[in-house]
Amino acid sequence: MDRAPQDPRQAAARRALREALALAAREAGAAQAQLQAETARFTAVGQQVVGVVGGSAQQVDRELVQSLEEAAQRTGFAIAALGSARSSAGLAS
Amino acid sequence: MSDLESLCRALEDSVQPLPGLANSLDQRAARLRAIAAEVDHAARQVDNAPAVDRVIGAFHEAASALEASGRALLRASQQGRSYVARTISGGGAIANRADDRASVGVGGGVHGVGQGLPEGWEMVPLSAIDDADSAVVGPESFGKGYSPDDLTWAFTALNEVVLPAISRGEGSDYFQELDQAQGRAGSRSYDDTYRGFFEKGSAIKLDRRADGTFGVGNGYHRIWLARQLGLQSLPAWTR
Repeated sequence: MDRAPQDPRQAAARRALREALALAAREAGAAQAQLQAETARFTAVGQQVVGVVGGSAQQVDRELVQSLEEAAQRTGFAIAALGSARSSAGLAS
Repeated sequence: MSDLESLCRALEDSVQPLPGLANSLDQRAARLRAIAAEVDHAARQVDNAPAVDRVIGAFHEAASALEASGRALLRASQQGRSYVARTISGGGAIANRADDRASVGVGGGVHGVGQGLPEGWEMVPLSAIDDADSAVVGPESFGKGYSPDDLTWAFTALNEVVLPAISRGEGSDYFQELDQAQGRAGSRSYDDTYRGFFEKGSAIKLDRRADGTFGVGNGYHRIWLARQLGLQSLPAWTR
């Protein structure tokens, strides 16, 4: 059976949606890579702080490193969510 | 220089990049929310559109995680600076030399820069705004004017373009030129965003109370959306 002709405006809207989803997938992938690099930067700060402060100021050492670890963990969540966004965008487009 | 002073300076140097990294994460979060809004907008134009809720939800989830990460980085920066300030005699001078969230322009997702704002405007924490009398309860409360998607775009533009430009002393002419160069007009333009936030007829207007909180004179929709976006402060004309 022939398919009914599609409304040109709907066809354009579908095209726009596909493009938006493709852009979303690309951006998610790019953001994942960049976030991994940025996570490495502040993880390095954590190591540097431990090296600087050493055993002379345990409190600031511990608090700072915990905060940096939390930042890395949260960014890890974001990277995982972006992976999910990327695959969902691929499936929907 | 004493060993302790050397240690503090080294610590200060170590944490110095953190506000910049937090700023970068915040900007990325705003970008992800803008993409989610674009996908949502595109899907709404299509009859029987494929389900995009998971895509949108994942982008917002990632954005929220990045904002939380940025907050943790700023906390780490503050912890380092506080230690330096506590430890070194006159350490405040050292601590204050380091960048903070405001000076790199994050401000909880909008922008912390107060420099260059027109006289009478200030960055107001959302936590200080009492909008309990607001009639805005959700996207359905938005009329024919600006949609939540439009305002999400505007908040992103505010953060990424408008506030940084204002802090450099730019004004409407600059935003008009930028819009022209990028082919932008209407609700999704930089000049419209600038005028919307910084002209008295359209600005968010807040009335300062004796207890330090603010009542709302105008801007309930933007305040509602700012809360949804997880922002922490916004520019308002305060009286």
